[in-house]
Amino acid sequence: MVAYGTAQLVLTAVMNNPNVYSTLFFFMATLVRAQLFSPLPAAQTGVDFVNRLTETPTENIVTYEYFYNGGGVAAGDFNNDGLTDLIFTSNQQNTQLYLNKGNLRFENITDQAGIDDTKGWKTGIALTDVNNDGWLDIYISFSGNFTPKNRKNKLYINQQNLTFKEFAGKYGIDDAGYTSQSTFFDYDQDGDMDLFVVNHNTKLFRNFDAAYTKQQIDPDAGDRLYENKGGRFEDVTTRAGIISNPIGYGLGVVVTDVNNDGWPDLYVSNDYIEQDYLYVNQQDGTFSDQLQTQMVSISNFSMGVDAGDINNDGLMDLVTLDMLPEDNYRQKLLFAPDNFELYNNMVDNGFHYQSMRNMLQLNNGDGTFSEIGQLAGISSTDWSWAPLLADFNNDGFLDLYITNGYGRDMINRDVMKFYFDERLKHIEGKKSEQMFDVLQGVPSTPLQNYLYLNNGQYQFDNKTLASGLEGKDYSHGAIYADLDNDGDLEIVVNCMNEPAKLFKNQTVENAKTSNYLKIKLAQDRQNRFGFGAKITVFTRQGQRLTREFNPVHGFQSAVVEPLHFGLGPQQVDSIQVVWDDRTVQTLKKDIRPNQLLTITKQTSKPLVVTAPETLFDVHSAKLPYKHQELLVNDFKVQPLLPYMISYHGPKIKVVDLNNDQLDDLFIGGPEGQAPTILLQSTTGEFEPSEQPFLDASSYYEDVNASFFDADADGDLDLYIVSGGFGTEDSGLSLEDRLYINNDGLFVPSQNLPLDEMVGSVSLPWDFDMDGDLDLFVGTRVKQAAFPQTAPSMLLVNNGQGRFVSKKSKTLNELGLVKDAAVADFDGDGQQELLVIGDWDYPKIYRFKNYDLVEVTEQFFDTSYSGWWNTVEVNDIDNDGDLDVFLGNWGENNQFKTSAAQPMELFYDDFDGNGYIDPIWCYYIQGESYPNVLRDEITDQMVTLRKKFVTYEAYANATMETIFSPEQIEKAPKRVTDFLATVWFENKGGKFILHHFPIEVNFSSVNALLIDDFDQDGHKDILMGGNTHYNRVRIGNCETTYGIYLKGKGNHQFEYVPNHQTQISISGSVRSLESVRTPSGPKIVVGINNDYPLLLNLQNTNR
Amino acid sequence: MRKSFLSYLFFGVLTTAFGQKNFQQTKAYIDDVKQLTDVMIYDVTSPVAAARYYAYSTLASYELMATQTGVPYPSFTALSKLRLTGIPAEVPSLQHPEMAYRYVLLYVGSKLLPSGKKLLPRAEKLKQALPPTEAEFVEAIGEAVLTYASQDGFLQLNNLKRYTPKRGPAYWQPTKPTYMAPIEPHWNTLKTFFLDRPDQFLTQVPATFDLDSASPFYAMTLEVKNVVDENHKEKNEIAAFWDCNPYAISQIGHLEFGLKKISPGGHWMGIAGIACKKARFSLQKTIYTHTLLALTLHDSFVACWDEKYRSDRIRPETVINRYIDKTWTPLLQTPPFPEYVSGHSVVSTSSALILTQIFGDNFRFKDTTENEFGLKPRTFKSFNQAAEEASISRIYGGIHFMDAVTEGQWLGRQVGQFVLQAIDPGSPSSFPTR
Repeated sequence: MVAYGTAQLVLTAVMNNPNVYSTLFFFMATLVRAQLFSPLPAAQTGVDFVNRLTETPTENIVTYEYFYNGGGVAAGDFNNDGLTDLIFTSNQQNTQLYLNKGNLRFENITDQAGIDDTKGWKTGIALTDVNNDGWLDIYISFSGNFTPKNRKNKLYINQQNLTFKEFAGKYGIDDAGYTSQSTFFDYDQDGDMDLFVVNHNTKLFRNFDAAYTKQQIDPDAGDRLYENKGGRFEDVTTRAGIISNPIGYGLGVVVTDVNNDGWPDLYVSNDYIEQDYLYVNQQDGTFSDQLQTQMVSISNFSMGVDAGDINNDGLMDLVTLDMLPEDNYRQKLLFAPDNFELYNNMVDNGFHYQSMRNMLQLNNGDGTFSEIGQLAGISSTDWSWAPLLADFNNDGFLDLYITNGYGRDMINRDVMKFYFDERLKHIEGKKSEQMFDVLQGVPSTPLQNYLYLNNGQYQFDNKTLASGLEGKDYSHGAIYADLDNDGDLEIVVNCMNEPAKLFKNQTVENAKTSNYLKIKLAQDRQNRFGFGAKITVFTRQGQRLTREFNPVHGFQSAVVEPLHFGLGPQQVDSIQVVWDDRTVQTLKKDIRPNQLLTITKQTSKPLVVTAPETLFDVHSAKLPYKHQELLVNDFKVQPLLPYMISYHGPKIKVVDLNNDQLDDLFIGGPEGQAPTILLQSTTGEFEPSEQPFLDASSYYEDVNASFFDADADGDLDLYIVSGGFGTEDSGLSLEDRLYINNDGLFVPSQNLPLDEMVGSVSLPWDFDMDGDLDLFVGTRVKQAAFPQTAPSMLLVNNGQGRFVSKKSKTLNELGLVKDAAVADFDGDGQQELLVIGDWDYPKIYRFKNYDLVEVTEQFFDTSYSGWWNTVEVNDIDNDGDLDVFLGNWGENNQFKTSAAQPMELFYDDFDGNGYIDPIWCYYIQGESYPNVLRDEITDQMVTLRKKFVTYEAYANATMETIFSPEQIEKAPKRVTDFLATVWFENKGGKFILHHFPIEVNFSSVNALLIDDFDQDGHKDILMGGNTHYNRVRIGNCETTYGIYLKGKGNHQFEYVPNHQTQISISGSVRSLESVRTPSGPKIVVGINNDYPLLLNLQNTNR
Repeated sequence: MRKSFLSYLFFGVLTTAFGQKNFQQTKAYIDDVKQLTDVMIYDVTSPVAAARYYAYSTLASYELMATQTGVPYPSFTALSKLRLTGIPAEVPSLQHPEMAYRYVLLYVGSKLLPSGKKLLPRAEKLKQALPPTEAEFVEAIGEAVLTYASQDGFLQLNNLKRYTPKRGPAYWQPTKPTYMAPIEPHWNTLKTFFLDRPDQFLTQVPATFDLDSASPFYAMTLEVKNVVDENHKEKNEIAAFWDCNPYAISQIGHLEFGLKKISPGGHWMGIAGIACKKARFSLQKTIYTHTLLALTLHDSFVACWDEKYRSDRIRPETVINRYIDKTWTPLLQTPPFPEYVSGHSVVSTSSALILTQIFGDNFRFKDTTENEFGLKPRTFKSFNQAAEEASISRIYGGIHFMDAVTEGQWLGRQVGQFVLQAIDPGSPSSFPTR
């Protein structure tokens, strides 16, 4: 390389000049590690394909709503010369076939090859060997505003001489539906290729009638499955359990084995209201759609899809694309305001939880997926089509390439609200011409495709521009292939109205130390190509790299060539092939990297699906009680809240009420449900205790409780903290309650000062050190006025259970308290109070001179302002002092925050109408913007309607443009710069920050339980969290299923995946407590709006 | 329009031919009101908000007019609950009262409407015709009205808890295609001009939700479905003519766009303009007519919205889709708020009462207000006939049940009569009606 040589010379010349060394090093690094890709012009490659799209009054986005979906591309070796050829679909013109002549030069052989797709609307390309002659055949999908005759999908059978003959009718797969893409796979494992066809409707079915139309079958719009019966295909859609309704609007499909049972499963991505399908192969010729039980949050307008193992754990993960823009400007122009009714309607009608953003579904291997696209950094790539998971830099981890762009900005809210109406009024003529004329004024925005490089820790770095991929376009189908057979993957992109792009991968040229391996499969009789096989490369360095051999990927595109494995500096230890018939073949002999390896099937050893090694045997049982929320919506009370205050229960307290050494349970009730005490019998059964006074208190929301001997009579009395958000007219009562234990009956006591605070936590604490137990009671927020605070309480016990409230100015300054702990952190013999909350840093107070005095700085050198949920105190390292464990919101969010770019919350009565308006801002691409949308802010501050008449006017608005400097100056502000769940090691009275493994931050942590669960002498941590009820734009954040951290000693914790721990807790966990039972310790799990679980973890590997 | 307006300005200064000049000003004022209407259409103003904007804008003109000596119209502070503060003690005798009346209309409109600045070029031209001290006085009157408007509860609406659809088969549910949240659930907290309370006139409770085929509710449901299914040409035309949906949403794939129209109040303001022109009303009478109509519209909507969120009744579309025909779609797009009572029935009935009182019964007119939306004009022999047609059109359109129409008409009559009594307690001659 010229650049390399030059840089070396320069380096040598200036090596002795330290002043320029660092600059030069940077310069060097850029030069030597030249860009990953280099674009090759059509003039050089001969690939001059253009998907030329012409709008006419009869053919446009109004007459056919998938007019701008673009064409596909496929890569395969059609003449078996070892060079991968290319084929492109054009929507309105003929399909084009390019023969690879070597050295990245191609020749258009369409005319000679006998491909004639001039008529009709072409979409996806599938490749297979349908007649099993060892030569690749081509299946072209058709759709469009055409008659059925011109919508028939075509099957081009390879004549083994670079010509093709169309035989779809003969094979019975001239499907005349509206097809986006099709895929061949052997779903019944009988050795021949079956066909799945993804169709969509051309009529409009949106949100309405959905529950009804869901049940229908539509021959043209519904998906279809064809079984290959000796060369003749038979429609088995209904028999196989395939959903074929008119609202599928399928745009993508990928074949993958999600449960490693050796049978191919399917993921189908659906546009609009219908949720995607995850078809799990039932091994009996049928499929079962398990999307709703395996996934929580899915993309709403799903486009393309791909499958791949992004974390090298042997489990196939999934990526689906959507339309969320990365930049604030386009988000504000395109986003509809949160409509809770619409969202609930979607959920109630069985369409699951859908959000408009790309999703990365991490396969947990236990029949669940965790959606981590936002933590991964790939959620927002605008109007996107093709996701391609491939190892573009040969480092051993799958990277992600994404195409995007849409012909016209059809969901620009100004276009919707102003442009269409105005234009339509001024145009005379036929309706079709009117619409065509109007369309010409709808703006179009070309977009930059994305290349994300996988950092191996679930996160993807956007390296698009640094990788030589700069260029905005409207790009749709795309594929990767090693077109020059040098061991790295080129990218080919089908673009609208401009030449297809071909990016040459320069990894091998750039980094000689980076290894790869290409594997070609061969079988003798059936399925000569080995489609459907799964190959795992085990490296000597302990990685396992898994690839599946299924041609269709991304969007309307396919690839058939030797499977590519980037290895980085690693060496191959062994290779395992699971063939399509579930036989296993293992290669162990000295396998050199950087070669094309052909593996011919030589095995009849059946795949044995062994139960994975597990840490525990878990027995899970529901308790005889169900937590039932009233399903309040806090956003109706305060529309600009960042999140709800309600839904924080159930708080479960474990206490031995009858001194039988068996724990009993107290479960706080939400508004509308009384608190419940479950007494444990000697046989370990839990039975509700008769508590007439508690039963009569269902109009409180119990957010916390304390059992302590208030009146010094030797039994445990009960203090219940009331909270909730509500409004003054909601009937929700806020005063806390004290119940005196009267031989097991809890009787209300009047010996409590009246409070009207939204409480959060109570802690018995003899702060005045007079021998009786006083109380600290934390206050969550001022009712219906988030984020204004209200004072917390210190309740002084007179020794007989009569409490008076201690007034103190400091109590107003504790913040938005969510949890607290009392412990002697500095070993001075006096307990301190640790208080946590949201939009605040953990604070420590000492009780001094009959007041609280903040001493945070004595303990923390840095303040970490988070959305803290929960605190646990434990001497984890057994060094005699107490360490602190703090559950936070987590890092799988649209909003990112750091000390340099913190989230800010400005709050004031900005429009002077007597009401607090919280404005939540966070940084997007280096600038801080309010999260609130134009309609939402003008609805809340009507005076702003005049300032922001259009969405465009608001789209770049910041605090500074919305409000005057005086308003901003005057407004109180809170800051959050830290959302990770962490722990602090107590080191001589100083708290030292320690991070947990990244999996902890997939979601919020709302409960923590610390114990040596596996009894290996090191304490472990069980965490639960998730947040179900959120702003519509945030969606359902139930990502984790009970996080287990195995203590390794030395302050280290190892994340153990759920399929190994066998722990699987669905929902939003709010309590984790240890319970003594006759059969040993168990764990009670409090889940919001659900039954609490009793878990029994039995050690398996001691 | 602009040309004749400008040429008039020229003449206006020189000529003293009162009648002609005054009628030109009448037409110009009506055109000013239409400008307000156009901005409201642009902004997609809800029907209730539109009525409120009309009320305060026209009120400013009227109250300015009432300050002048020799004008036979007393301030509404004497006739209604309106109270104005900040009126200058010294009232100048306006040199160009017509310009001033029109200016203050646009001045208030420009400050109230979200896109009010679109009115500024027109307002500025009028202002330039006024001596500076007069302009100051005129704006002070405008400000007095704006101050009152700022305290009528509108700015406090967003303090109130947002509406959540109730559970249960009889209650309103968001409707297709966009399942919008219902418009202004707390509109009954706004001040009214005449009514003592929003629930001063209580309609009958709506027919009980009942799916028994013999029940009145079911019969009314079938009535709506049958009339839409009948697909009768004239009924369809009538439904479309009175649609008055400010924002009917169309969806094509990902594309979603709103087709805008005037609101029911805007339609009746248009009719008032047509009638004033036909009767060759003076500017003063025209201002009076528009103002009284606008205030009545506002009170009518407050009373109507009070009932809507009390009964919170389901729309025919939801009932039919749930229990009879899942694919049924009404002729008109169901507007996003509860069904009972029909707002168009209330405001059309009260409007017709007011206009009949002013213009007399059997006042024949050609209603051209919907021309710009591509709908043919319709001719009516009286305001009451138009109101009857507007009311029944909601059945033809498939968006209301019959009892919401008849009870809506009843409510409109009560509000209209109450207004008429308030301004003219027992002595018809105390007020010029023609």
